[in-house]
Amino acid sequence: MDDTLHFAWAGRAIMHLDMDAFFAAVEQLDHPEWRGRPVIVGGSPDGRGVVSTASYEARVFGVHSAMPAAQAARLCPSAIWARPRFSRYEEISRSVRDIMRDVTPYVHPTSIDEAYLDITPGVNGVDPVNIARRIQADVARLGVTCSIGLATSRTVAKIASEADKPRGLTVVRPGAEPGFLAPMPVKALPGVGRATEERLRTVGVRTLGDLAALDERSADQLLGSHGIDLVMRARGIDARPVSGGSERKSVSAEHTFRSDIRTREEVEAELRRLVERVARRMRAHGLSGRTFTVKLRYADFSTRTVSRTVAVPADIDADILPVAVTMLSEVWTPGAGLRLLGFGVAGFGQQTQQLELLDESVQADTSKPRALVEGLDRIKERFGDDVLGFGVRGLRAPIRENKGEEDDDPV
Amino acid sequence: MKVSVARGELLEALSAVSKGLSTRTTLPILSGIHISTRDGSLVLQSTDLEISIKTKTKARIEDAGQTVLPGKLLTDIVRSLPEAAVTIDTSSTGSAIVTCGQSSFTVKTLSPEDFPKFPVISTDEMISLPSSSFSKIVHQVSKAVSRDETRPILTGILVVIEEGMLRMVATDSYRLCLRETTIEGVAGSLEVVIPGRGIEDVARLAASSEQVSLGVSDNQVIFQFGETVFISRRIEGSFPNYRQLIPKDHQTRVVIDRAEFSEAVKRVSLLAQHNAPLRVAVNTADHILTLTAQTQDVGEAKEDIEISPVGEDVEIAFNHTYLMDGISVAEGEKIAIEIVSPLKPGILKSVDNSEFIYLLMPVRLG
Repeated sequence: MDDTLHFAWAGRAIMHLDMDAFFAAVEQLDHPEWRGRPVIVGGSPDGRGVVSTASYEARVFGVHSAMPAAQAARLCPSAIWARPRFSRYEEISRSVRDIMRDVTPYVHPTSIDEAYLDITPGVNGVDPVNIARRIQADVARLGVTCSIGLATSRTVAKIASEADKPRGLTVVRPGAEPGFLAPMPVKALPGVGRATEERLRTVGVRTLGDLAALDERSADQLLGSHGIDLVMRARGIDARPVSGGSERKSVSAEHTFRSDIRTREEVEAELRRLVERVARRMRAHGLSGRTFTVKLRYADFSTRTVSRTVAVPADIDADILPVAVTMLSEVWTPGAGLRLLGFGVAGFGQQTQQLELLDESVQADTSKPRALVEGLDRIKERFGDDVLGFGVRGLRAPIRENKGEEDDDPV
Repeated sequence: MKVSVARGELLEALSAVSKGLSTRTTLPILSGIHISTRDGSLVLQSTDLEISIKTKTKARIEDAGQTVLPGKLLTDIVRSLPEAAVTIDTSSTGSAIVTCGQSSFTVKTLSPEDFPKFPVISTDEMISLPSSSFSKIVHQVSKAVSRDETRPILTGILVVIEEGMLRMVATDSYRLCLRETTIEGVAGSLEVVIPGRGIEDVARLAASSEQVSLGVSDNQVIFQFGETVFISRRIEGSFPNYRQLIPKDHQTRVVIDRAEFSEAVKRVSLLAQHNAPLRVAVNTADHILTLTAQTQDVGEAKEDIEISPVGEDVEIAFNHTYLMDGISVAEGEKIAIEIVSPLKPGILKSVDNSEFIYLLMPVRLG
């Protein structure tokens, strides 16, 4: 729907990201043999629990969230039942947030599997549709999928993200809101529950188009002050900002590997990726920091972290990486299997820059590392993270693996 | 070879040639000092292939000859000896016996045949300068010499002699120091970029001599002072056009007592840790220059200095080390600070001496 030419995005660009059957998807990620089969995360089928999340394969049988487990078991006897593992879901959720925060500090997670982002383009900004596509692709690389709604407000973005699940990207361009919203049933609007829906039905309001057409006085009489708010939002009017972007104390990234990595090449290549990512995010936010932390988790789940504070705040890969590699060597011996590697920077100082007297021709040598990474930042901003990178000896196995499966997956 | 020499004179000669010893372990011969006899003197040489030093000291020659002794060890031995005659005897092969009073050392020698020949350079002319002026100016501008080997031209000092004027310039691209002085009776002209390390060594070694003369060849520069010849390679390439870097005018000019400013900068800099900048604010209405510094999670410092400003209010930030370097090498009781704008270079000048300029790029605040 977006292959046609459009004018530049006018006004705010708010994105809502909603993970697809999140808990079930994580279980299918961690249990490859469950992929393509109905998976239900929640209480046991013979107990009194409820369904927390059902995979799309299970939803075909009519199973949905909050359904009593016993009922779900009757509807879908072949389902695989999994106990929720929240710490694992948190881990993936953090990775998804990392991806979003690579793009903007304005990320407002509303739950473990949903978040709003403000990706309003600047003067020479990148088309938000491209940003949304990139985020979706980056999330898919983690081995789970999401649906995205992109619009000019939170309400419309949220409705749009629900419109085409799973793996949907629904864009409601500026000005297209009324046409998009009008045919939707009123219950599609966040904040409209069963009671409100019933009350609206009594006055013949069934769609958002009907609701938008309702005059404010009737709305107020029918639903109180909440009613006016609903009418406004049904008209696509919602000025609520995406919070987030509060003062940062640290920037970090971590990666859990599908299978343990153990060679120096693999581990250092992963560390380099994490450093590049963290440094890039710091530059995007104009931060430079002095305290570096390397985190690793061994195959036996024991976790080690090591921190070091350097004299001068850094925000360039080339300044950070050698320190990070040294820190790694203090806590890790090649051959020891790692299931997780993380890197973070804290201790942000004032971002200052010593200016130079001489023109480019003489000074080029010292400014090169910065010019290089900033150039890379711009390219990645535009074309995505994987288009370009430093030559790294070693494998990028975990990523390629994910990517391969993503590509092979019949969509 | 068997020679006797006064301990003090030998130590002086050894200290001079020690500057040319190589620390490279791949060529052990370069860690040695070549010693030979000539016309009632002992000739000492060293080279690390970039710098070559030769000096001479009076000695009593019993047997002529030559040898190479481990430079640092020999210097350490002689330094530790009492003030008396030192005898070096190489009559047994492969080692030298160094004796002084009741002390005796047997030291393995290196082969003099392996020692590089001292470079012979041909120069059109040698220009003679009073070494006091020469050494002082080198000391001043060497603060701005770059230590970054990736930009070789900036690791040197530009030395220009023309029309009775000696000028030296150095810049590491963050600051630039220019010092110029007229020298009476100087004839000839030259323009050469000399490695900072070499010229700094010469300035130190030549301080005890009256005059230092220098000459240049295609790729080397030669200094002579006292009994010493010091040859360094010269740096190829063109030195940045420093004249166009020096702002022609300014918005604000402050004249300040150098000692007072220096003390204040030192104090406030205590809170400018981890490269945090030192802010300099000029309030023309109140006649106040305010220094402030702030280090995250540590604290902040502030100091007001009464001044007599001319021009506009301004606030600019500098690396405090660079600023301190400039203040420390400026001359005179009072210095002038000239500022164009917060992102343009600031200038320190000696009020009574227009021939000193220290240009300093500011720090841009995020």
